[in-house]
Amino acid sequence: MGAAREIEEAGVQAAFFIMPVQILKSLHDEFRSLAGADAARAILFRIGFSSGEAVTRKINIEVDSGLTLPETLTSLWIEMGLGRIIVTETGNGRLHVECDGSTEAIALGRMETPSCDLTCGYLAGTASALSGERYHCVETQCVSAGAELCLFDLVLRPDEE
Amino acid sequence: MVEQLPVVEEEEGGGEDALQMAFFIMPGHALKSLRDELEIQGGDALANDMLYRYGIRCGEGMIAKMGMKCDTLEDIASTIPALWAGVGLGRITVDEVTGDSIKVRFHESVESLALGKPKEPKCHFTRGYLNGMAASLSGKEFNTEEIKGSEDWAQQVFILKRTADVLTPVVEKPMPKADAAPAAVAAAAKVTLERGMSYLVENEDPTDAYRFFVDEIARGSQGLCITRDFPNKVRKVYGLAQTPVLWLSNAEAEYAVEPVQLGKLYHKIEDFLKKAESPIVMITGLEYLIVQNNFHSALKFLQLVRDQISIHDSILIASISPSTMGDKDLKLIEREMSPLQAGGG
Repeated sequence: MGAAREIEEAGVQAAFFIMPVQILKSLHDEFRSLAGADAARAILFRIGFSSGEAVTRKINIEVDSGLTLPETLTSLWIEMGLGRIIVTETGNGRLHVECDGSTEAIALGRMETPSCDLTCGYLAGTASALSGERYHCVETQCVSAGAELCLFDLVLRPDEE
Repeated sequence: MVEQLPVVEEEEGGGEDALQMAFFIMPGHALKSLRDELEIQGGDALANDMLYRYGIRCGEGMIAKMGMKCDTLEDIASTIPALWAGVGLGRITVDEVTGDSIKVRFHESVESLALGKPKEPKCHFTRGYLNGMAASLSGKEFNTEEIKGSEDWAQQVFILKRTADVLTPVVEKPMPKADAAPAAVAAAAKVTLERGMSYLVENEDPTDAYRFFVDEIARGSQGLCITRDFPNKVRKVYGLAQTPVLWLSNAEAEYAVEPVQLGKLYHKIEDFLKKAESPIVMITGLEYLIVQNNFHSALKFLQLVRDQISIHDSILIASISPSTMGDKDLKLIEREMSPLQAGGG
């Protein structure tokens, strides 16, 4: 990579922009209509994952002996604007995430199944960038499906365990 | 003059209050990810169109949160750079303000950098964001174009041009009988609609609603037609040569309103009602608004519109296809409005 391109790349890496939360419903609806429900979920997860990774790299925060991964993830998440989370470790590298006021779930309104796909990806990308290991995330209950809180399980991908 | 207004919730049609004010952050790279995914699904043109529309919504959301209003293009030109600094999509300056347009120059467009500095107009999200901000600040329609700002496209220039007001109330000129289309000729509803009232036409076909509307127009009311049908077709079939017709569509057209933009639609209706004399508003296909949003949001939108109809001594005709609705939801809508049937009732 040339020096000029490196500088440009650094510029993009450093940039954040803000999006109103209502846009999340549009993203869900339009990707679902374009690609079908399952593919839409995967697409939003991927966009969320790369965003979580990029934001974490930009903030340049690392898990060290002073702060555990759950603590770091909890404090970092406050900056994202996607809700408030509490992260606990449940063993074998698994993390359990309780999310209160998930903006994605509120934006989506009533859905049949857990639907915070972008948030899922964002969590996985953030946890992966923080830990240097590859995390996957699954939402096990969701406000949009009638639950009081959104719950997520972050697990190390099998090939990374 | 730049006016700081009490913050108006953009989506008055529904949603949680907190949500209306909420933003989340995305890295610059997300624009490339989003574009790539959209291109894979629907190609370049679709990606351009969707990013532009997302941008518009973001710009509008930003201004709704700030609660600002500008009277002149000069005000908009002086306000946007300051607000833009908080958006995070790059540094801008205003090159010039002319009679109906503002020329904005980008020095470090994040979208352009994320896309690898294309040597063609590709910053559609940014273009939409600027357009949405200008339109929301002024309450007028804008059209924004991207052109190169330097030979090598290291800089981009965006021209924000104010477009004609498509919502000017008019008294429709009577069409010669020979020219009138059959549906308009047949508009002979033997019903007197009362001002201040909101009426619901339940029918699988919106033709009856159109007939009541056209009938009121023929009596001298100034109408606003909001429809899923293509405006040119509506004008031809119902003889509405000058009456403003808003198209519920995601298409990029000055007379189009995205169906998910209930707040924007509400404001357009409110603006029209303020300007018109003896106004009448028609919304065909409520079920489409419900599908595109959700029932709660659409009902809240309808309630707000109904209130404005009362305040402005206007008339609302809304049509709905009852077979698309659950009984409970239909009853909730019926409670808000008076039934209207062809042939009286």
